[in-house]
Amino acid sequence: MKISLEWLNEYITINKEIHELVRELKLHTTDVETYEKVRDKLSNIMVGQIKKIEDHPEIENLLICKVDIGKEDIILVTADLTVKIGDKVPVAIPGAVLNDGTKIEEKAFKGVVSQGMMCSLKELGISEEAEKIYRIIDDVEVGTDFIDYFKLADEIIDLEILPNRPDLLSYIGIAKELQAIDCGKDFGMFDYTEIKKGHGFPVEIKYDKCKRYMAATITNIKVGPSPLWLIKRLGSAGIRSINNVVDITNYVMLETGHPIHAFDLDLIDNKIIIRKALPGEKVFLLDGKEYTMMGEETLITDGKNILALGGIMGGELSGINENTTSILLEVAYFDPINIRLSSSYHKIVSDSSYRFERGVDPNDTEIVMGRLIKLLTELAGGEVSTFITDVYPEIIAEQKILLRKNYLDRRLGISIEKDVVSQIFNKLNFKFNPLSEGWEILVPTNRPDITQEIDLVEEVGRIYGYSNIPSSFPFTKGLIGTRGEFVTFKERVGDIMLSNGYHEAKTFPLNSARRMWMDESLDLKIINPLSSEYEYISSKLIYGVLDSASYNFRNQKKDIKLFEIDKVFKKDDTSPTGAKEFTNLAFVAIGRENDEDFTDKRLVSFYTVKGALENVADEFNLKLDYTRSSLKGLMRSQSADVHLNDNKIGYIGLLDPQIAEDLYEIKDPVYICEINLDFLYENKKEIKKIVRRFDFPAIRREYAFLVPLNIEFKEISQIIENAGEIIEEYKIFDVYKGKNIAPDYISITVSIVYRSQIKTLTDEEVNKVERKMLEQLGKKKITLREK
Amino acid sequence: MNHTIKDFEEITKDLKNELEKITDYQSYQNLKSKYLGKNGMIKSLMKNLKNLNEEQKKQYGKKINELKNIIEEIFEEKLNELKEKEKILKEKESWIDVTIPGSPRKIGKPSLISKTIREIEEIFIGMGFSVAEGPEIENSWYNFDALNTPEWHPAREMQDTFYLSNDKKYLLRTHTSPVQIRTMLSNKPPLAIISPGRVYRKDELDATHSPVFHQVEGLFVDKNVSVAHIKMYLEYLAKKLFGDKVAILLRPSYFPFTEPSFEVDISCIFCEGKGCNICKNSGWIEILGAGLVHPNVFKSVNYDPDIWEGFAFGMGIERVALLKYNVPEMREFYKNDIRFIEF
Repeated sequence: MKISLEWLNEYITINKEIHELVRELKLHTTDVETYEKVRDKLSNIMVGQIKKIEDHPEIENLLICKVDIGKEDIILVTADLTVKIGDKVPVAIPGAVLNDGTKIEEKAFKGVVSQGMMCSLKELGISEEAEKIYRIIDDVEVGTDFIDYFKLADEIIDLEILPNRPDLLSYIGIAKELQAIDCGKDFGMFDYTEIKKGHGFPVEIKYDKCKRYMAATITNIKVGPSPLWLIKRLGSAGIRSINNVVDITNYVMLETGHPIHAFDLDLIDNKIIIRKALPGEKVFLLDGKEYTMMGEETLITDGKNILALGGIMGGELSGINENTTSILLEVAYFDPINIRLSSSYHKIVSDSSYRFERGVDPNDTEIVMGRLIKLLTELAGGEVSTFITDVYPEIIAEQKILLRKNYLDRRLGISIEKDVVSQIFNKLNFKFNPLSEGWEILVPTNRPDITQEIDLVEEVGRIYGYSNIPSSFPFTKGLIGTRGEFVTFKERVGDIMLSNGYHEAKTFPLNSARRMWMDESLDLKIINPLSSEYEYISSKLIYGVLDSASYNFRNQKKDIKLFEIDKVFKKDDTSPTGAKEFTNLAFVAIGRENDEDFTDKRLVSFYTVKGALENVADEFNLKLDYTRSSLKGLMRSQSADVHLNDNKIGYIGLLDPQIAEDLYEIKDPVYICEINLDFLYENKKEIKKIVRRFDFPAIRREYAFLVPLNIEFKEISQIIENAGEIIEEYKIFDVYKGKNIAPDYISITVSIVYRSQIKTLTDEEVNKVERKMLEQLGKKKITLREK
Repeated sequence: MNHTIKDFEEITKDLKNELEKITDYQSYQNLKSKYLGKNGMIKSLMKNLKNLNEEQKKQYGKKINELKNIIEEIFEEKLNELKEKEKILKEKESWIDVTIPGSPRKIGKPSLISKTIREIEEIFIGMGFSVAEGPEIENSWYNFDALNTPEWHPAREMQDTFYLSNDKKYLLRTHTSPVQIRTMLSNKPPLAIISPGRVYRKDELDATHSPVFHQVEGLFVDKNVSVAHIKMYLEYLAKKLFGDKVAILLRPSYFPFTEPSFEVDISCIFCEGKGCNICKNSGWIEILGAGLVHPNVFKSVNYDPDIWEGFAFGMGIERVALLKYNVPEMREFYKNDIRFIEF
């Protein structure tokens, strides 16, 4: 909320310089978003009066005015054809500076010299909309310094008002707060007319969400322009001047925080009935829109027509206009929850609903009405109804809350002397009774945020100053911190990927339908997305990782290894959250295997990518199985489904080059992999039991197998593994296809280590196992390659 | 026996002359066996001894041994000379430019987000906090209602929420606070947890906002918990994260789930509190929110608020990383530009 200090000074004497004021507000009350000086550059503007008007002899649509500025008459040229003799106007004389910094000098218009300029409110920095020359309606002497007289130089602070402090949505509230935090003194309430309650305008409350309704009428009122001080003050709050009546209701709302509504009395059928809306009922509001009621709203009616959506917005027909002569003033109090529900249901946020839903003071209506009547009769004339109607079925009283001294000390972590605490409540203007154990506080009804003891602790704490509270560790026993097994597991997986040269990516799990090409159906949709780009929640991690790869590739970084470990989502109506969440690992590799090493010219391949995945499985002593994949979007020639204990946990392989190019603008081979980590975690083996001994010498032999292309290595490894106990280990040494090899064959060289657990092996013992192995391989047409 | 001491001198002189011409190991070995080998000179001298009497044997034997030692020494010297020459040759052959950069195995870098989370985890684990995680798609009860934010509460507007169902029951969590609720529902106090994780708010991606970002929240529940304790823990956190010179400042704020609530500033790490562009000349930078747990929150998880008290705090990971690593803007964290990651 923007606060003008010039205005605030009306209620309190601020005794701090602005920087200090801002600091104190931040420390004790709320954040100050900005503070600025406004109109502080304006100079040399006088009140002038037009004495004579002539047409310009040569230029059409220009008038030459003789204007009295007190000590002399000057000539001013204007294009505003509506000026009249006798108009009082702000005049910028040579040397003047306007709000935007423009300097005013004498200027010739085809032989006629203009000795300055008549100004609009826009040029004076008072109202953005007002571009015509301003006519002063105040009774101010010609020649008066316009800037001083209207106190135009001002300072504005913008306070962040959080939902718990509706009292600060008003000048009176802020003035009281400044007194409480020692930034101001001599708080004084504004002038208001004492009102006489009685049988005034007939009002009936038929719905208990309206807790109080006060009504007054004023007849023979004169709707017209507002005086400049009012326009200026509303302008500092960002409110545009409409006419004196509407302006005053807005002004008093800003002063008191209490929203007010004014109706045109001639458009009301002589009574007010407040009732509950009917479901499906249509209401036209002054924003020109039609609203269909849900049936909980509070309606202000005259028994026939709906006049307003209570506490939120006026109706289309009953508002004040320039022909209005009689008005009905409403100062009411509505149930905050009811206002909040209606306003959020209809998506209407008005100054009124904003305040009512946070809670206004139900007990300040006399003062608010008195202030309205005072200002309206002063500025717009008219006769006020003798009696003011006040329907207030159930009085909302000040709440009594006990604050125990030992509780206060315990929660703040410091013992504050009783006198100091009492003084704080005095400053806050809270009535209280001192008790032996603490205080019984009467919470004023403009502080709906204070409902329990802890809320009073906050009041004392913030006024006392949190900086004055020392810091200390609590006495706590037996809390042992751990990262937790799953978090540690994920970090270990990440570390393996890092050591394989993959950088960690962080991506959004939000996607467009187009980018989720791997999904058969899209079921997790945000109903209020930012844009179609972020409309769906991802079921695959790879989409984001590929987007990042694409970003790099398009930006000339073509050697790419990226991974991500995070959640993916699936709709699940049986879950209390409506979805299931899985933790996945996804990675992508493009270009060189190791672009750091100039001696390593290898490009990434199916096997290097698979190697990284095997490293992950190895870390947890697991063995993954691979079967050829027919997953959408992967090249069948180089891709596999990944299994763990007969459960499919993911995929690995070469991305369809068409997809790589169309969706990601990547022209090089793209290898991708994604596996579920939850299942890996559940099955991980932390300890690998060493059951072999390495005491006796090993025998190592190499075999260059000629393998028909239709045989998978998986079959060879099965045979080797089953050939005999003494086979300790086997490794692929070389894979070769091409020259000197029959076209339907591939050469795979395997080295095998033989070792016995109980003795030194003889060649003959190895030969026996070897023969068996070769025999089995022979059945699959796998032979040894001739040297 | 016709050798004399003078002969010995001549022998060594001849040997030295012969060695002079030798440049390779093979010739060296040949010459060495000529003198010291099985059928070499020394051996043959030894053989001649057997024709002499005991006295002579003793005398000559001693002489021959001396000669042998001298010869061995000469050969040893030559060997060293040959080795030295060979080393020089090898050096020449293997000469490389040692200033050419190494060819390391490529090692990936963690995201600054993960790095920052790990760092914060370490700090709190050291103070007895455990790490807790929870779902990102939440039921509105955990995200709002249980946190003293019923449906009609104006504070629901403080965080613009992505909803997954029209009845607003399912949503993307706007903070990691639901993890606190879940932890309290499944554990007995006292407890101390931190919950790092991804959260979602309906903000356009720009220099300081992102619809997806990360938070770490902390919750401490015990008997007798005060503002003084919040200050202690957060002061320690700030110093560990940003250095020992950093101070903190608590300012009043509002969150429905804490009372009193604070915004917590750290003294500006760029100007050390003197005032600069980054701290908008205030000397302080806002970094986290905190407060004493609201009694209504304890009621919603069936903890007795007359017995249990606590504090909670939350902060944006990206915000910490922006400050700590001087990252120009929020967007960088999600572009995953490899040059940014490697830099």
